Amino acid sequence: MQERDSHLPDSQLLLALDGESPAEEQEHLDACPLCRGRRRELEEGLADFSRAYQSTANGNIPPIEPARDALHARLSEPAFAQAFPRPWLAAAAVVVLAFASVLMPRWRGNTEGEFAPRSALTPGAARTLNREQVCTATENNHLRNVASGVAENIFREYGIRDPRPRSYEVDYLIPLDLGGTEDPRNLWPEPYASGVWNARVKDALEDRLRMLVCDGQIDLATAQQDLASDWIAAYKKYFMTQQPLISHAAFVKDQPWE
Amino acid sequence: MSIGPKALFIRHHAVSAEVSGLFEQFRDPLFRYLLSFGLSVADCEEVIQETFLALFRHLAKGGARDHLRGWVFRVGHNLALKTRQRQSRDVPMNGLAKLRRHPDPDPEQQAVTAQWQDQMAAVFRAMPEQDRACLSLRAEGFRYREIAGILGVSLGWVAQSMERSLGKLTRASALHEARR
Repeated sequence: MQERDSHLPDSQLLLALDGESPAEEQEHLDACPLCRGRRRELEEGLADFSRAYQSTANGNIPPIEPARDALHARLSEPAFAQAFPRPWLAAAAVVVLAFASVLMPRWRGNTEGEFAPRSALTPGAARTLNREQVCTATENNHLRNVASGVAENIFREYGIRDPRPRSYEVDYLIPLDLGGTEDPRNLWPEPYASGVWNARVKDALEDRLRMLVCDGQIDLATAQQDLASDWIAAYKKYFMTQQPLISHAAFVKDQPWE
Repeated sequence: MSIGPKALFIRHHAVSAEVSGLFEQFRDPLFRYLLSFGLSVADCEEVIQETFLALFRHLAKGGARDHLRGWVFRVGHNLALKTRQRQSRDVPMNGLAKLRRHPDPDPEQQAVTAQWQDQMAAVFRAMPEQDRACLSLRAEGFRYREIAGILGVSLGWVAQSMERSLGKLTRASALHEARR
């Protein structure tokens, strides 16, 4: 016992098995055959126990298959499909806070409809297409610019003088990649920076609707109708939010007017 | 970007697949541990299901993916404690009851071995719960530092616990040898 007292206790020898010994204890261990021998005994004792523990318990474990099936069934329940955080809730909260603290004073007086297309001027116009025609189209319709003369007319009709280049989209209310036409009745000037319901948010909606149409989740006519009647209401409906998502503030799809 | 129905479906599928893979990997080791903890087979099954459902929620919320084996055992351990408290019962530990250390065709030797097994099982059963947990987790291959994390104790405490437990097992074994 006297001799053991000058050596490492079992607890330290056990920690040494995991490399958890301080340097001086490790030095002692390296130089001391008695401690190394004791560590080996402990290691063997642990190995004996581990073998016994595993072999004994394994005989009591039922087959995995029913448990696996039960787990899969539970994970298929709707509650688990809703276990994911919904960023739009957080994003909407951030947007609201941003309005309250910084941006609201500048935008005070804006209404949702201020930059909305006027139905008398821009009722929307669409071709009769089916989903396959829309979804298999390979042309990049969103890269097509509106002719400058047409755009100037649109600005004039909306009473906008000397519009600043790259501040607006002359936007197709029903986008070309959702069956909209180049008819001027489908065009309106949509600012990027003014108001929250701006051109970038509208672009995000267009992108979303095309995805839903091509996934078969909504039909093309519904998407066109929703855009033409009230695109802001459509955004709220399809993104399930009352405010634009913050990520859509930088959404890029269509070309700016310049 | 928002999560649409399709993206949600894809994420749900991906996390479910990840949880299924981890279930295949960790279910039996966790089962062994829970048995050594004294739970019945039915309770083990229930605790394991709840553990992996919790794992799904953890991953779905973007929880950390490192040290998931330790995470699974920590949650399983805590759920086992709750199960025990709810039932207020002391399930006997049978982990070493069928120990076959040195199978021997000699009937006399078999009897001696069986006696040794009973003695070891009795020693294990008599250990404090935390000591049994430490020993079992070590038998599952966890490092002492990981065991400390799972049980919520210090590394030094784990080392002391292991020293106690191995001391008891060694003494019982030596006593058995002496009686022979």
